[in-house]
Amino acid sequence: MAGPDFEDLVKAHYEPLFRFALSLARSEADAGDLVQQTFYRWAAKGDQIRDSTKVKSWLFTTLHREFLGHRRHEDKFPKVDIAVVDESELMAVSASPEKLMDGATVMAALQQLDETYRAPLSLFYLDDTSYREIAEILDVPIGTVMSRISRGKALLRVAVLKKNVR
Amino acid sequence: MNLNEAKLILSVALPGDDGAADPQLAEALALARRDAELGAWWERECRWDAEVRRSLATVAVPSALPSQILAGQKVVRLPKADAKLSNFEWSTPLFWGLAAALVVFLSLAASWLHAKSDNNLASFARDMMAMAPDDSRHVDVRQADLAKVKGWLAEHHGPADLALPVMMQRSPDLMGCRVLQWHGQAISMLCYMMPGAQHVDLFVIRAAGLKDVPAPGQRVFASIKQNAMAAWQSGGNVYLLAGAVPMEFLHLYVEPSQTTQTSWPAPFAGVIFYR
Repeated sequence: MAGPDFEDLVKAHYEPLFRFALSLARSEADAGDLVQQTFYRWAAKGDQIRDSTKVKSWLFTTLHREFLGHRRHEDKFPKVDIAVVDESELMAVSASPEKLMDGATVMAALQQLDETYRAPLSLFYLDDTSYREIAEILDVPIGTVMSRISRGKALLRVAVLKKNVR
Repeated sequence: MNLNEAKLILSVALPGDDGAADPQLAEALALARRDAELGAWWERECRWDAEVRRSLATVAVPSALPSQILAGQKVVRLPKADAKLSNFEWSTPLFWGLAAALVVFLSLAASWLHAKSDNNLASFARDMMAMAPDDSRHVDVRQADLAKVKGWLAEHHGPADLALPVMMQRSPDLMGCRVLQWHGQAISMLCYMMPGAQHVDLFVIRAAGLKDVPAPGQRVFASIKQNAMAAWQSGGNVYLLAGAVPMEFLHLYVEPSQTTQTSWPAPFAGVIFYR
């Protein structure tokens, strides 16, 4: 089975990839570099992917690895395994911050979160990636991804609220 | 399934997923239909998720990004390009873009061909020596723990399965490391500040990436200008230790009792060989 056409591939995935990269790298220039590097890796190796359903996962996995590879100060991003989610974090807040949200505000709030939550949450929201796929992309256990998304959503909500209050 | 478990499962569900392929989600959804509190929570959660998705989808993506990516990709694939030049408008930006891409490609090809013909130990040593004095960004990370250095190198795709001479394993003088690129290959560099402020760098490359490597067990010593160098092969890697230090210093660190080799590859003019 022939792989997807490169141009079609770029058109189909560059936007969610860029937004994912932007949430990780926090800089448009770095995000653009990460996306380009990801597609160049595809140009070099992507034809090894025979299963077209794996393409999206491959691209996001590669971009995430590129990000990790470029990250210089790893101690800024401690790995935290969240085994238990506090019940209070799963409760919806009484306010409705979503009524005031815009893309820039949400992205800025997302970029504030620790990378532990940022990566799974970005994938969850940006390209409707299932938690099982996210676990594969980030190479972490499914249960960990579930708790990180869940807690990350609570943290994001608080961050958006704070931004809207200002 | 209690309410808290149901919330955790629901909170990671994608829009429109009815749980047909996920019994746990199906159970959580059924519970949300029966339990008013959970149902209300789930409704707010769905509204929140939808709004976040809508908001993030409006984040602007640079309009030039796809064309930049595609322009770069053309450079990669130009040799088998199927574009019909006769159909081009010669004055269009596309033509000039492709022309620029061709120039870049030819440069890369020339560089690659040069690299192919120059992948020997001598050129490796010469190039590494040229890179070593780069003080502005000499190491990427400062780290004295060898295990952590190996971990960092592995993560950055440099050779990390290092089999170091005993003196370099127990040296407390490891300063940091870096990954360099040489002819498309990743090179691990470890920086040491030996006693007496003697600065040396150890470069590690996969043996498969070099021609005329020292045979296992051999040690090659050479000197050029103010720099002393030692090279050997071990465990599929070639090691090059170099610095502006006395040759005896390198002997000390790379087990001079095993030194057997003297000939350095031919292209390395001006080198003094040591036995």
